[in-house]
Amino acid sequence: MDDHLLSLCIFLPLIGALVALLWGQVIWVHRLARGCAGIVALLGVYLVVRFDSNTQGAQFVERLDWIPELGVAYHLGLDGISLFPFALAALALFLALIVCRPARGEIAALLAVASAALGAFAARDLLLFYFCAEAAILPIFALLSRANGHPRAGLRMVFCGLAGGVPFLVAVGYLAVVHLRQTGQLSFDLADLQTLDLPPEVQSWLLLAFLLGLAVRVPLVPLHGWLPAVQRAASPAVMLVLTSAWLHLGAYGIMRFCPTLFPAAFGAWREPLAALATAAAVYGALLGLAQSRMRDWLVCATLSQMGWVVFGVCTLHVAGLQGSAVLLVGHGLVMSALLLLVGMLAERGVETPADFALGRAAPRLSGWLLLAALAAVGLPGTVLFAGEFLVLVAAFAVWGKFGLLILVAAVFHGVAGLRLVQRIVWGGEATGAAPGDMRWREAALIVPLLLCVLALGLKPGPVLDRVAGAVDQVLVAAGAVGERGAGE
Amino acid sequence: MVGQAQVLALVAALCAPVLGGLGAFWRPWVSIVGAFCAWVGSAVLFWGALVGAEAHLSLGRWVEVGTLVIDLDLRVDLLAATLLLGVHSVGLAAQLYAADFLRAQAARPLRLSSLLSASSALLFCADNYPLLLAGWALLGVGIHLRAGADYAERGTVGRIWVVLRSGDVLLLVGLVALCAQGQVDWAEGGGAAQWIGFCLLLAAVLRSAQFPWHFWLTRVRDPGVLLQAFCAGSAGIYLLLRTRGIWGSDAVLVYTAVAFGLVTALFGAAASLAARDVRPALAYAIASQLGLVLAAMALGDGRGAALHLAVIGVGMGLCLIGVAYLAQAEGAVWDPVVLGRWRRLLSLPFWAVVLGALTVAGIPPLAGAWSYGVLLAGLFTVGGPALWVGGCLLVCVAALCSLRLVFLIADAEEGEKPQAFRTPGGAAQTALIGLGGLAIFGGALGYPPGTGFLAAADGVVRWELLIGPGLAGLAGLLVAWLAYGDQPVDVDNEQKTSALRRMCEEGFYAEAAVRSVVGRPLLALARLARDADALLFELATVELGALGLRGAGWLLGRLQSGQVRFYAAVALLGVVVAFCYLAIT
Repeated sequence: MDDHLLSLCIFLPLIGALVALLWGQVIWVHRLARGCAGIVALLGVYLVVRFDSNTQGAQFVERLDWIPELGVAYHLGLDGISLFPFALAALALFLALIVCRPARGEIAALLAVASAALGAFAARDLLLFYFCAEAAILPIFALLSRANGHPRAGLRMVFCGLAGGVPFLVAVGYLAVVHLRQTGQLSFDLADLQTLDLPPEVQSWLLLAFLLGLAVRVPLVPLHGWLPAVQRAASPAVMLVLTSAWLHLGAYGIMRFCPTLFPAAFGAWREPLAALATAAAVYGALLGLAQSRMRDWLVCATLSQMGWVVFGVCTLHVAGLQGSAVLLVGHGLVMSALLLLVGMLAERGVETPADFALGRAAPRLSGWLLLAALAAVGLPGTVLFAGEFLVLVAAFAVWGKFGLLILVAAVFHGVAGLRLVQRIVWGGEATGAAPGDMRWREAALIVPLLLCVLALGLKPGPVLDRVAGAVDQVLVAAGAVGERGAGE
Repeated sequence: MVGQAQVLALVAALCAPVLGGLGAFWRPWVSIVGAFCAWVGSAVLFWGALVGAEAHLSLGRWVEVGTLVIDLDLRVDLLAATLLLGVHSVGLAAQLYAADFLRAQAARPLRLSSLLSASSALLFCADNYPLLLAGWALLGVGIHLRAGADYAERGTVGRIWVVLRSGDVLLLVGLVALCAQGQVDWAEGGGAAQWIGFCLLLAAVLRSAQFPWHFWLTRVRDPGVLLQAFCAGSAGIYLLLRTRGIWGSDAVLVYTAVAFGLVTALFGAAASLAARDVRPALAYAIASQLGLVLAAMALGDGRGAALHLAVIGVGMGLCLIGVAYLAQAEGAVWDPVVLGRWRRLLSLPFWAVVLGALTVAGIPPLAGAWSYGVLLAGLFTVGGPALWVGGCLLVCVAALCSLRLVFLIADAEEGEKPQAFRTPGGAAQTALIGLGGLAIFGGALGYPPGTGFLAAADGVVRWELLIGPGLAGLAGLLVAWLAYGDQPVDVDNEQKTSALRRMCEEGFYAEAAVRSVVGRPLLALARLARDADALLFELATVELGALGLRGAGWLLGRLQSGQVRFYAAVALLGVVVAFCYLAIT
């Protein structure tokens, strides 16, 4: 039964997207899409539960020759690193379809983007990964072009995605050619390409090409120019899917490909990259201090937290990589909750500090908003804290006290988040029309997410256990046995 | 049997506030039931710790990554149990006060008070640094929210959060470094680099409201919040007590702590004496006490620090709740001279203030006398008579601060009962009577002689050292009577404020200086970065990139037309360039 689960997860939304485009009944299309997304989300949970943390290597593997002449295979599989982004993408699709507008085009595009993202997370073949990652661009463009008032947001994103995608594709092609030279066979399989013997200078160029393609998605400063416009243009439902299909895919790609395909170059360039990630984290948090809208602060928080994720990867330490994986999970859950809450606030006309005290007018909504904001700033007991703590321990073990400079971001980030929430929740004197409190249907979306955030913060073991094997494999492939040994 | 009772009590002390806080969403009084259960639990733990039984509880594993293994273990020894009892007593009293005073609006403060009690319990019961950090950070968030729940104090909320968050991060830096070196449990207590100790010290200084970061505490105006802010401040002292093995052997760090403590003790006392509003007067007195404990704990052996913090919590609880009822009798009038007019009509709050002030002043035979005695006896052991005499002088000044208010209240002219007159309800009366009982029966800590806290390490109890601070408190009482007693105050003349008083009320401009030097430039930098971000990245990178691409498109458009072919051409061009380069190199 487990043999075709991944394909089912990938193609079910795609079929749903086609049906949505062809069927005229919007209400039924919406229901069907929700049904598809619900099944995929349940399958995602099933995959997480079924995943055997004692087994090394990929699980739920599917392999078919796709273009044998070129050595391209439809090779799918999940290991500890890809398992959680995959499940989060499925969950994000379900949440997005719950809160999205009942418009056929939007529903179809959301399903298509999620399908492509799921394919990219499960891909064990580099060309398949590239194909899936780039396949999301067109529906994303369609989604963003529908937004009123921001016609160029979609163009910017497409431009950035393609600009990064081209060097990535070139590097992938070069790797396949080298494999042909060294073994006599053309292959894009990740496991095959990890065994290549590449000179350090060539690795450096290829690493740069990969980083360009992936860092623009994360996004790392200074390649984040597309994010604010997109965030302003996209509805919360679209941002939910984009977060997993675009941002998490970039971070996952850096974690998965860069240390394993180019170990020598990554070892040589990880300090500058860590410095860039630190700068991104601090810069994002600093920008957050100057924001007055919740939605804008979320952009800054994302910039900052993605900096933390990349920073953890750069440590090449078992705690750092596991911390990054936990951070990715935490970011997915917390941002999903915050995006949903922003949508609820926007429905009530609250985005900036207004002339009513939300805490009094809507105590339940403000309470959950507060909890989500506290989780986003890494309060101990929440999942982001567990990830940040592990990353910090790794950074200190590798770079000493200079590794802790990234904590400056934690100060700015914490102050900015709580300051903004404080102004929204306790701002004003309750003179305007009071917004309604959270409804049960809304609570049913938010509460499970935040309970997961708390549960994984108190017991991150389920994530760490599943990630451990894949992290060990990355460290072995990266040749970072020293740090691994230090960690052990 | 004792062990099982201790574990049950530990679970009650930790979980009852959480359950009470959750139950308060249904009925607010459930929070008070939870706080009472937590108090009973902490009382049992205190009793067990006094007879030498420590409570242990393991809740499983938090993380296991390589050699880094962190368990969710809890442990309560005498130090933790003392602070736990003090904080839960004060927390219960604050909840009873809030329930009585705020009535219909009490739900949110009660829930947040439950969060504070639970986080305090987690902090004091933590057996390792990460758990301690969790309790520490939750306590900071709790006091931030508790102050934020009072909508009138938004400015204070921001100050509290900035200071406490900075302290959190400093503590995180220190603890991460310790954990990375393999020191996860505080019981391991090995040495560490000086900068780690400095981080811990600075975190404690920020949290315990030492000068010049005292303003987060002294700006709080609500008596209930102030009481809980004191509990949050005592967490800073607790951290230093637990990490003494890390910083205690470094003379630079010890004298830095002493300097912070002494300056805060003297500054707080001076500002308290100059304040006309009874709330800042008590807030500065609290800061002064925290400074005194920090200095004495850094120089001495720190044995009495926990006991003194618990006793001061009880004393300040009596003062603050009593004063709140006196002040609110006719409306929010906080001038001690004016609020003293209703002392006969509100005899219970008035006598609560007197009892609390006497406790804080260390007058025998109340609990304060013993706590000062144990605290300063440690100074004598380490630094000899000179230090001990210095400590006694500080006790005298502290007594003057608290007793000044009593004399000002007692000497006010009595007024007639106004129409809108508010008397404490049953809940507040229970809180006052309970705290009063603790202050009186806390005096029994000295009996039988030579046991419990008063047990000397060498077995010889030096009564002169224990009684000396009590005499210093009596000297403070005498000075206060001479300065403020039996002197009707001319209200018109008292309204004139001297330059010194203005400076004291402004906190010697330390807060304004910090705001000018750090806050404003930082915000300006953030705004600059925001604007530059839009200009530099959105315009420069994206727009210029797009311009370049459009230019390339225009060139290629001469040869090709249509979007797909255009992008295909760009991709092909990239491939060709890359292959050319690789072929050449």
